[in-house]
Amino acid sequence: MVDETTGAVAAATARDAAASAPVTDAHTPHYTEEEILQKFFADNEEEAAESEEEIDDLIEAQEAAEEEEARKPPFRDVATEDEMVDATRKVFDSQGNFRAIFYQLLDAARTEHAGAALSDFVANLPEMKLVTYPTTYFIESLYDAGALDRALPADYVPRTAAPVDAEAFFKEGTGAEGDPDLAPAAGAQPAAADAAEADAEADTLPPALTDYDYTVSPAGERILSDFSPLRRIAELFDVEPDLVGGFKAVLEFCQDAGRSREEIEEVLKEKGFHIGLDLDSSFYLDRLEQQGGLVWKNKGWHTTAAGVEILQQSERE
Amino acid sequence: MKEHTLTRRTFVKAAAAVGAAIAASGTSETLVKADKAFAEGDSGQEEIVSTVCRACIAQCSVLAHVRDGRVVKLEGDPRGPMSKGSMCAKGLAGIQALYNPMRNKYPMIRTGKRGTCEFRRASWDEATDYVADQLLDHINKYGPESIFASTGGGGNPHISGPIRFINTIGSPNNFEPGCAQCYLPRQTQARLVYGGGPDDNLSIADSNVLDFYDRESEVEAAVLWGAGPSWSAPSMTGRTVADLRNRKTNLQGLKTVVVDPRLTADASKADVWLPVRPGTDVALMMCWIKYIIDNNLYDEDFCKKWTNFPFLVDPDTKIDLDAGVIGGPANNFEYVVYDNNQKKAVVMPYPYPDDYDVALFGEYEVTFSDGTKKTCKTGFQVLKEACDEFSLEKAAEICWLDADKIEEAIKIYVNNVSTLIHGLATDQFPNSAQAALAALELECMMGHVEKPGAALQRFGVLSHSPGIIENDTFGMGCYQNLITRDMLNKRLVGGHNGFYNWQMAHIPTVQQAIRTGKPYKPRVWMERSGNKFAVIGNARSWYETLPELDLIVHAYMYPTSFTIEAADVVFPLREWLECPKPVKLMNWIFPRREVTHLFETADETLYWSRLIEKLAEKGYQRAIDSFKDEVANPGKSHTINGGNMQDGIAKGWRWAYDEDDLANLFCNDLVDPDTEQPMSWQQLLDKGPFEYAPYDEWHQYYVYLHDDGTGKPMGFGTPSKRVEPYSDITVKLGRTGYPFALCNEGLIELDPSLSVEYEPVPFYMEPHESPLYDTEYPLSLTSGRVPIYHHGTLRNSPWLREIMPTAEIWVNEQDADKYSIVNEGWVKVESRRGETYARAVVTENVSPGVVFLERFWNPELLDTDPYGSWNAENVNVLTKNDAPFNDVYGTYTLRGFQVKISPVDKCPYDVYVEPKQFSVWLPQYSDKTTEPTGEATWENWQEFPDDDLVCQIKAE
Repeated sequence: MVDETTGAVAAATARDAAASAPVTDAHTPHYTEEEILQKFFADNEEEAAESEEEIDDLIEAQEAAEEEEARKPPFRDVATEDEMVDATRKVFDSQGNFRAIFYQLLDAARTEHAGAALSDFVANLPEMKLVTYPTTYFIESLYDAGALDRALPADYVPRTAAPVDAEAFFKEGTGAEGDPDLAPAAGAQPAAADAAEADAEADTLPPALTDYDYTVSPAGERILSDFSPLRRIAELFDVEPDLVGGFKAVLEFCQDAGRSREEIEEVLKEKGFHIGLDLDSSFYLDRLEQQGGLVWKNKGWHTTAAGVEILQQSERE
Repeated sequence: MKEHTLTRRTFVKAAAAVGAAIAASGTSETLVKADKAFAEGDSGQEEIVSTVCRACIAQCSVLAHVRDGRVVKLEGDPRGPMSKGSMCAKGLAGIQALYNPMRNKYPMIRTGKRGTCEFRRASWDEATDYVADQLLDHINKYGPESIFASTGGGGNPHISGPIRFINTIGSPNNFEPGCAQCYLPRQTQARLVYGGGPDDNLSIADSNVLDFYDRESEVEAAVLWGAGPSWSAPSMTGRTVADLRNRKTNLQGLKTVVVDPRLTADASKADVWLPVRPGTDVALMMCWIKYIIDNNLYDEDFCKKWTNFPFLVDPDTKIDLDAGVIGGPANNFEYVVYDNNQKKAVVMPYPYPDDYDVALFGEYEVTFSDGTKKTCKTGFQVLKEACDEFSLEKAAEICWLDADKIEEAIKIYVNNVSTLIHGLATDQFPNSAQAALAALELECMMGHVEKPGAALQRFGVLSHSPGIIENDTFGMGCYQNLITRDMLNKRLVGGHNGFYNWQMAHIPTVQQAIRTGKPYKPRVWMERSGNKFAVIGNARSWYETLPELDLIVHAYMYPTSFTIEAADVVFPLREWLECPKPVKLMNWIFPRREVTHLFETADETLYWSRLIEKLAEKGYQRAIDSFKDEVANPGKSHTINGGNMQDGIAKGWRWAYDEDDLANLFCNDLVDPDTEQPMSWQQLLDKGPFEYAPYDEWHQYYVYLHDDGTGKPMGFGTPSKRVEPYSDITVKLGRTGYPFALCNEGLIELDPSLSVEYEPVPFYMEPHESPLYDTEYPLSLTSGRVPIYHHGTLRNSPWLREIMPTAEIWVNEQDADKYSIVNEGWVKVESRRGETYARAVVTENVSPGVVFLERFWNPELLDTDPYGSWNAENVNVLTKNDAPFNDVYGTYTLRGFQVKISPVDKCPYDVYVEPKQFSVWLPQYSDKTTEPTGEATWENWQEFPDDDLVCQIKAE
């Protein structure tokens, strides 16, 4: 049957059905996938082989490009200080709720240098509560961008790969964590249990990110200055002069105890600060948090040290 | 496996009973096995399962052949009343989609930065728990408005799911890149003008225009305005239009006029093809209106008796004068008209009195009840004056057409039993509401309402017509009882109140709120669709917005650019061959069945349900309430004049506990016609496809003339009971939100500060970027469907990619010469938003000065160049999502903007172009592969899990 719209003959294969448009009063003939695959790819072995070669060529070209990319020196080895500052800004702005983490980590690195300690510091930040990334992601990002410098401590001892204690690992009924679900089936033979392998000389491992000591680079110092909460809160007040009263009221209210969003909204309403359909109370919280004046912890909003200082400055003025 | 003392079902029941006390109860899971991802053995036995396709919105009836647990063949089901046994390429690719090696197989949580493929595998419990904690944290910190959802029409969507989810959360904001750019303007305007149901409009692409599926239809001619059924839904709408055109019975073969910048398959068969300049359709429509009025070609009797054209309009308010303003009783369907017999302005009773002869045109003095006098025009007069400048010659000049051809097209329309089918095209530029209104005005003027052959019909209204969730509540009735007045006022619609019809938000307004924090900052994005970067206007602007967001959750069947570039958590959803749902097709109900089920994938609605359930477990009261029948479904709908516009809370439904419960909920008020008893999902499966009403009872014309039980005709479901082509209700929509501002208080008026002004008649807007004065970007771009892809789907289908391996740009021969473009050569396409690439089709199928480019993206680059995967060949890095917007619907510009083109040696991205390259996506159901490891790396994304893996949570 010929369709008058497209001139197509009723589909002989799925492919034909696709290339034609409607098929009037006709059912699409049925081919299994195997039949269609055969039709597509097995009809002409020579062509298939050629295509295979083309794919191989493509893969080789891609691998070569990747190798070339790998040979390039790291950004921080060739970048200027200005470029590192720009790169760090991008890192700070890479994800909404990460800015405070990056800032506090960089600030902490002024006094705390050990990678492991910095990792612990990040892990304990309230902003990390729902972050799934490893703490080292934040350290590495700042290092890669050039905001942190690093060096191995003088007493660093390279670690080695520990030989597998196959017997302990596969101790029946306990598993690695003592979890019976991880236990092997009865009679299982661990592949790594080969005695010769277990006795083999351990390999030296490259240093982990937490093995290094970190210091803030000149680019990092500039960023810390630019992103100083005091400076940013002051900038916020300049950008939103009509809302300064509301911002200060929030900082004041959250000084002594954690406050809920609803409580803060009530205070803003009571004091007659602008909120409505064109400006939600959460705008005040969002902006003050972003500039480092508020922090959310223990299910309440708290004024940060910088927020308190801003209030004190205002009083002095 | 852990011992559980509380099943999921009993947990939720307990939630209803004891509220927050259940918060500490913890979760419970009963695991059942997924079907095997490969065939085991070769019994040779084959089962044929009746189901319904969802590769696009057409929903064709399908027979799936299942051998040893594997779907091995799909074919059209001849019982399908709309597809009649046909299937198209998109549907046939269902097997490839189902068994695609790149399926998302289990939940994943990101471990590396966005833009990398670094995820780890997570259990459903862990992933939903994590997301629920994040949601609660954001609700507590910033309020529920900090969370927004989005969906899309491609890839087995349940459009209402995210609306209900977000309403349950307490946020008003959900969006869809179609919506204001696809169907919302035409669907909403039809509801306002005609008062039919959600599906009773001029859009054939949305499976309406049901008289066309009757081979005995009296229709003789159709105007396909921006519609290309042969390419948008080949086996359903395309098939039926071709069928009518081919008709060799005593009835006339269908004549067609096609208005489309492209010579589509349908345009090639048209009696008249009008290649309108992209973005100028409204000028052409207004020309048609003027021509029909000037030549007295309208249906005078229908216009006088059954439209609001003769109603006199208050010149100050632009509102029809009801009887109350001159001292009569208001709200009795009585309006002020000028009666030629009485020679004065009088109240016209309902229905039209035989001794009246109302004036359709003119202006007349009216004395109001307070004694003031005003000169008031009829609605038809206002429309006539609005269209007055659009002569044939003027329209030809604006639209780059031949005036004689325009006249020839109008004559086909007016001299035959005809109708106007209004396609998607005009929903894609800022004149969208006006185009939708003008098309309806043409149909009303011609009396093409509920008569044989007309597109506007209310089939089924006079017979029992079961309410099918999703079909019947599309954009409506979705948990209105959980929407407060405050939520409604806070919805980010940017003054475009048409969004209230679908309970959706305006995308650029949401984006602006994210960027500025005003009035509040949306910070968590719950996204359910394929590749947002392929389908959203000005995609790069969204890419640049991503860093502002704290959490992005993506749920879909396979990874897309959005997964890699944006998602922090990924949930695996089911393909259409894995989902249960009843589907209403004309007077039939077909069950879409769970033909098979692979991996740890979930039905979309159950996915949303499980997130809400987690929130309930954690004590979030709105989530707990949403599982209660009495809260979720307060009872019956209230409607305006018995029509489909509501003035009260619509029916809703609680969240589902599990798959069986969900399928039963979907059955809603299905009744077995044999037993007249409510049907369960299992009973529907046992019964198979059935007619819920006899065809002749269902297929009835002139519904408005039927007795309403009081001796008067039913009329239409509008406030006046007449069709209302003078759309003063659109004016009211702007001022108060009427009739769509629905919340738990019923129909309310929006806050007065949100009031905006709309026009009751159409007006023409020259495209903001126009070839009339743009010298830097000289070519006008249009877009439109191709027959083998639906929205952003199926670019990872090897068969389909072989047919269309790259994006194609159509360039007229004259322009090709001018810009040194060669056929099949690569072209760089640039707009003011960005640049992308496509291969040239040098053709006469578009006019000089016009190019055509459709959406595309490249899944082959996801792991090596995710940015390239959505930038290489994507029209949506060119499109425009800033002002001007349509006033009523906020539509931005996907068509009718300016680009420039230049030849390049090759695409700078390593895109697949050769058939063999696509073989990496061939179905992998026949090889038993290794079990995926805990790390969700790109390599093991492609591994199929062992059949021992267990999956879906299910209640006992």
